[in-house]
Amino acid sequence: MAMLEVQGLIKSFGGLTAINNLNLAIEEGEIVGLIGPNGAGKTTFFNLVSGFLKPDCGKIIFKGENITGLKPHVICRKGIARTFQIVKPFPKLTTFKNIRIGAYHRSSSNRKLIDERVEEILNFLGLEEKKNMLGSDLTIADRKNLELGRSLATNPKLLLLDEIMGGLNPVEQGRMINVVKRLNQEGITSLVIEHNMRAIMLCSHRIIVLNYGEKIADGTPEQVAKNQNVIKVYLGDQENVRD
Amino acid sequence: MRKLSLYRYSYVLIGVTLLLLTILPAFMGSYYIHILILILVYAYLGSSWNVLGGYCGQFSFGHATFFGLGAYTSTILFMRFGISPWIGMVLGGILSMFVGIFIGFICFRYGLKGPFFALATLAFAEMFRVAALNIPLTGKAMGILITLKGTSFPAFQFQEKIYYYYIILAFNVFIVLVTHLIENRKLGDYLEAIKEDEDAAEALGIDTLRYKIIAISISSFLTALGGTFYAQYLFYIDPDICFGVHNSIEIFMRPIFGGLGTVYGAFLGSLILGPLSELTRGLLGGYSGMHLMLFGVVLVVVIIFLPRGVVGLLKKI
Repeated sequence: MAMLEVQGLIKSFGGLTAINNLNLAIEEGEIVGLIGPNGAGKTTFFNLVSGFLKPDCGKIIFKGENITGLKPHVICRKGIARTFQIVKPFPKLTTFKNIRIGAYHRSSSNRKLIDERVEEILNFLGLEEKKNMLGSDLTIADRKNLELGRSLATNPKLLLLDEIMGGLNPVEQGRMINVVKRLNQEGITSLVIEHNMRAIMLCSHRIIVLNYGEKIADGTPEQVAKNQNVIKVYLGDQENVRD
Repeated sequence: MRKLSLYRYSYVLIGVTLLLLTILPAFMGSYYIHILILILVYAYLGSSWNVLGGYCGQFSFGHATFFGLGAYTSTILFMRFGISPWIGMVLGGILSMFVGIFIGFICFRYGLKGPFFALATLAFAEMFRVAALNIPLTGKAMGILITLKGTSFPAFQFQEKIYYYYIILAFNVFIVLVTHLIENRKLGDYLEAIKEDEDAAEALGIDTLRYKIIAISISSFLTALGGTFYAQYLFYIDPDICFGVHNSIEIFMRPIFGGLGTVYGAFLGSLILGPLSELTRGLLGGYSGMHLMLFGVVLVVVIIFLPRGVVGLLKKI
């Protein structure tokens, strides 16, 4: 049984069909990259899975349970956590508090356990020195880190990472790739939206390509890189190239 | 990063303030005690508002609704059925809480935020004001005059102001404790998360609708208790005093001035604004309305230069 299964998903905004009859499955333990040109529907897809948008049609099944149309906080509690493309740290709360807010429903009342878990995440992400800094005072790399840390605190089975490497320099990107890989070893399945091809090729087991809301390719990074459709979508038709 | 800050000595400051507030009135004339009582009433009401407006970031422009419900419920129960205002106060609080939940559910369910929520709460307060003006039970525009029974604890009536003073001081200690409890628990963290970013809060598993309704129910219950106190102190209520817009404004001005979403913000705000408004009224009494203008100017200046209120300033020192 797939961890996440999406069947016949459709979402349109007025006349624009953002997601068009999308079918896909994600197995437990995978890191799946989700790529596609701007406006392909990647973030819309994340919003649908995490409950921020309701699909017009189709089903989203998580671990055998239909979660279509549930509210975001319910979906989060079922084990799907997401980050936002435009990071949303709580600006006036410290890094520590930011992460603690995600950690509460793990062990609802034991304050000590919660704080220990927060320290653990701070250590894991290398944020322990910044734990008393306010969300608004962090650099973009730390904010992306914090965003990830907060979702980790909710104890997810499936992570939806929306461009967590955007705006990072190559060193920071490398660190983030390692983090995603280490999380994978600890048993967290990830679905990663990324524009940086080098990063996504390095960390994904499998890549799904979207274009105009439809899946145009699905395979290993090597297969996808050679796929004619994908090349066409990213670079344009050969016939249109004048030499 | 530890720096020597005034704020770190806050516990000493609080202790000293409480001690002064307990002892001083014994040496004060009744006029000054009256002013202190009004300061403490609005410190209490502001702190109640602060749970919803300061911590949860849902700016209510209509807390007069809850104030009025508390005042009218206890007063009507006392005048018509002879029920002790102490019991009426709790019943008023519960009624107000249900109304708060109703208003909260309607507004938050349909995603009213910021100015739209403020306007909706203002509209509710106006509805109650107009209703109170037209229903015989509430005494219409005449209001209700509470019959004097002399000093009697069950009737919540005292001839000496000092009794009221210590009651409202106890109310303030109570609300400071409640706010402390909220701030240092999951609830406080959740409310702040909702204030800062609702989508992010949802994504982290917080049922934002539920927690906003919890905030408004706590806030409306506490505000109503203040309404009953006010009625028992002045022995007279009418629709304007209770449900009027000016009352809503009085309630939220102090926490904004003192520091939104802080335990002592409303208290500090009231401690500064109360004497200031009395002073300007006294000095400029000859020119009708002048003291309000001056008061307004001071308020604008403070809001521009101290967006985090007096508490924000103290934290910086």
